[in-house]
Amino acid sequence: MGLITEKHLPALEGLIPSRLTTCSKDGEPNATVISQVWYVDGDHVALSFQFFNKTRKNIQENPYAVTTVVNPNDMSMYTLDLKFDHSETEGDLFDEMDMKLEAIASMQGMSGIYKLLAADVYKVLNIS
Amino acid sequence: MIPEVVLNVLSTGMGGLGSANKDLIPSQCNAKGTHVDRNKNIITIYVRRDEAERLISDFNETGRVAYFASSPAQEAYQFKGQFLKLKELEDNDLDLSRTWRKGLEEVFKSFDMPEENINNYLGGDPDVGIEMEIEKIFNQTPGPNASKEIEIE
Repeated sequence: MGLITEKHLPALEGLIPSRLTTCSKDGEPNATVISQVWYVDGDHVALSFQFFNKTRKNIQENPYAVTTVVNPNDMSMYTLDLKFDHSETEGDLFDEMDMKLEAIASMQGMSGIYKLLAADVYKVLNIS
Repeated sequence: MIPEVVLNVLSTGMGGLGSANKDLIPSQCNAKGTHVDRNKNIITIYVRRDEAERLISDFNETGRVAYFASSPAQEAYQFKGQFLKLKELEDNDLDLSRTWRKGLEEVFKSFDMPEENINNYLGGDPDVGIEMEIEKIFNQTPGPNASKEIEIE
């Protein structure tokens, strides 16, 4: 394992939404909430790209982000410093994220609305 | 004037503070309640210094602040603006923060969350305030109005 170890994994199951902050090229921070930070491997996580929103625009301009994930078992929190690495639009990771998002949308009666455009993979720079 | 519609979420909801340094590296930390001066568009966000160390440094460097507040029912807003100053907390600030915490404790207890988990999540008392002048407010409640700017009255 890399920076992400066993103790962090429950916080990456998406049971509790995560906070995410990015920054524009002009230095304006943007703080929001995302439904899940996905485990990719010991040094990478993925975020879903569903809409072209401010977060996505910022990441195109400046690859750095920070997210805080919560372990639902004890509510402990971990902050991950991230750097955008690449996007995937097909393959196992994309299919897994797409299926889970579709299942969530279906439960909310919004099947087909929240289409996954890409799985955005980030390198984890630090965890605190 | 901060619109009435966002006041309840701002005063009682969970909050997260965001910043970035001059090299555009972002930071964030949890808030522990707020004080709202509605007429002056100023809010004071309560945090712990040990959790907000990077953000305080960023605010002194760039002055730019983002604050996200959401209710348990997922009503959410983002506030963007200018850092004004650090505020040493007085008794009434701690009272506000403890009232905020008590409200959320009740919500979590209604989900049968163990006391220890609630304490892990909400942490201890704040020890400093981040005073911010609000310039823009964005609706971030999931749905058709997400990302739309809310006019400051």
